[in-house]
Amino acid sequence: MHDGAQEAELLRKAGRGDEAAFLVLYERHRTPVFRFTCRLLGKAELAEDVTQECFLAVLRRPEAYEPGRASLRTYLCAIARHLALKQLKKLGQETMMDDPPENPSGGAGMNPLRRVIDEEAAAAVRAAVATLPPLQREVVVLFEYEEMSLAETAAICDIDVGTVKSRLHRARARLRRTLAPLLRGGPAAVPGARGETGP
Amino acid sequence: MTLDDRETMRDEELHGLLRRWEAPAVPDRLDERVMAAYRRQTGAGEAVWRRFLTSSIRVPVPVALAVMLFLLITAALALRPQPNLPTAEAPEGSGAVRSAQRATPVVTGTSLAGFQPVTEVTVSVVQEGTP
Repeated sequence: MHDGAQEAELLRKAGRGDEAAFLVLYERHRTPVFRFTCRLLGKAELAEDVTQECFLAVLRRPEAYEPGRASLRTYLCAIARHLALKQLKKLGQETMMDDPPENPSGGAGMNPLRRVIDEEAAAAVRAAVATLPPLQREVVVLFEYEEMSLAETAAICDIDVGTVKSRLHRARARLRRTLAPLLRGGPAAVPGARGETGP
Repeated sequence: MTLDDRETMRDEELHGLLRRWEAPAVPDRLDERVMAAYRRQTGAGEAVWRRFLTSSIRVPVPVALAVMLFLLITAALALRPQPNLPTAEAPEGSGAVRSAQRATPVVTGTSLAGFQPVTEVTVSVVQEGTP
């Protein structure tokens, strides 16, 4: 975890044209921001646009970041989320799907059969996450993939922790149903999850 | 992530399956794009003269129109033909004298080209009152 005050100072310097300060911040946060938007949008090209716009937007008003309220990573993800949802709205879609990258885990030397199974599982997971409503998808991506806390997820999505929990619960139930053939426990493993729908 | 969060929301089997979908790595071209956009936005790493030549300012349309109008009026006033004003040397006499001065062309130079002395001079005296 990075010191918020130090990151705020770097942000102010970067806003004044200090390229070295910007590079430090960009290299520190580009991967989580890109990963998050990529999983949310389902399309790498759009995720690139959103990531770029996210960093530039932060620099336009560096003083808007208050280190006492959230970490810079949380702040950047909140901006990226806003931009990503705007993109989805503009395109009139809830999600888009790229062709899955070939051999994403670079499994050279892996058993070919095992690799095929893994790739199929990854594609199934990807498709299942993409079919979630955007408001459920974002909490799944933040909590399950970006390993953010409930409080951080709530701050990014601008909702309370209780709502995060309920959305996460519904999303998991839905994912369990969709991915049942790949789960040993089957769709009923989430307590009280059956028959729940909505965002 | 706090331990409480994970304990409360634990679903290891689903979590393990979800983790099999890996997001693509950040492409190199994104780094180049972002750095170029950053330099464009802040002018970082750009020569001062280049920044000066490519800089721009935003002016509200009413202000721009007012400035243009002012410049047009100033230019029109400057190019308008000036009326003849009395000079400082002019006598403070009658208006007729000043009109005569204005009507008479001012000789600004003389030339002796083509001048020849007369061959015969006849003097005649004319008395006052003789037609």
